[in-house]
Amino acid sequence: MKINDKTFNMIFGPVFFFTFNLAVSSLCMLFLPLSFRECLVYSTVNGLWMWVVIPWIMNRFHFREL
Amino acid sequence: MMFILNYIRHSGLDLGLFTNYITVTVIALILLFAIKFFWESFQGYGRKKKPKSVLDELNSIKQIQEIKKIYEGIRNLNEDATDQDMIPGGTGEFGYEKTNPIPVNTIIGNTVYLDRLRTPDGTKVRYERLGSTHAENINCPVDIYNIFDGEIKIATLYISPYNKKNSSLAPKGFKLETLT
Repeated sequence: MKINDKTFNMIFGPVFFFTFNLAVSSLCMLFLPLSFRECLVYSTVNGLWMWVVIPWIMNRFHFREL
Repeated sequence: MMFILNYIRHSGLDLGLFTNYITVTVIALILLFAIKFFWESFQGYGRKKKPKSVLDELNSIKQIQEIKKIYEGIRNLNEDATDQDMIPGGTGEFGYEKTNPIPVNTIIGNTVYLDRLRTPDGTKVRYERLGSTHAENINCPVDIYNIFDGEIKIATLYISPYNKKNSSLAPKGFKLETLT
């Protein structure tokens, strides 16, 4: 089965942002009173909305144009 | 607002969780934008930002690009296109015979060339396109123009627009105005 770009983004977008947020929140565990279960919850929530919003913002906003 | 806060307090929700979530999210966002900033800086490293010239601006217009393609197409149409003032192998009186037409660059070149054409006393000539014809020794069509001095027809000239440059020679009995 061939996977096109849209399907690829739909699958790996949330996975990428979940992983990224998990890494960030795991680091935050060092200085915030967080449990790993909370980290998983935050990462899931962020992974769900970030993969829609972030690429959209990133494509419209360029530091070089500032 | 107070109502919402009271509701949260009495519902037993832990505001600390919410604060933690906001903190984590803000840090993640800052990191994402920092990565983007460094990525863009890295891509542009060593490259000086050149200000765009008027020519660049013009070349970026889609219509201009299409005109350029057509222009290039016309230029490449004739394999025997010459960059000389006379077509090599042309026979007969220059400009007056279809076998020895005046070489110009594109159809715009026709207009440019004929606009520069003057009678020996320096009068600007008027021209009318009759159509086009073919010559045995020329690959592409040759345009025919009637040349008038006022209302009097003084010549019929043959022009080949599929060449690399406009000829700087004038046919017998004419002269070309020098470009300033």
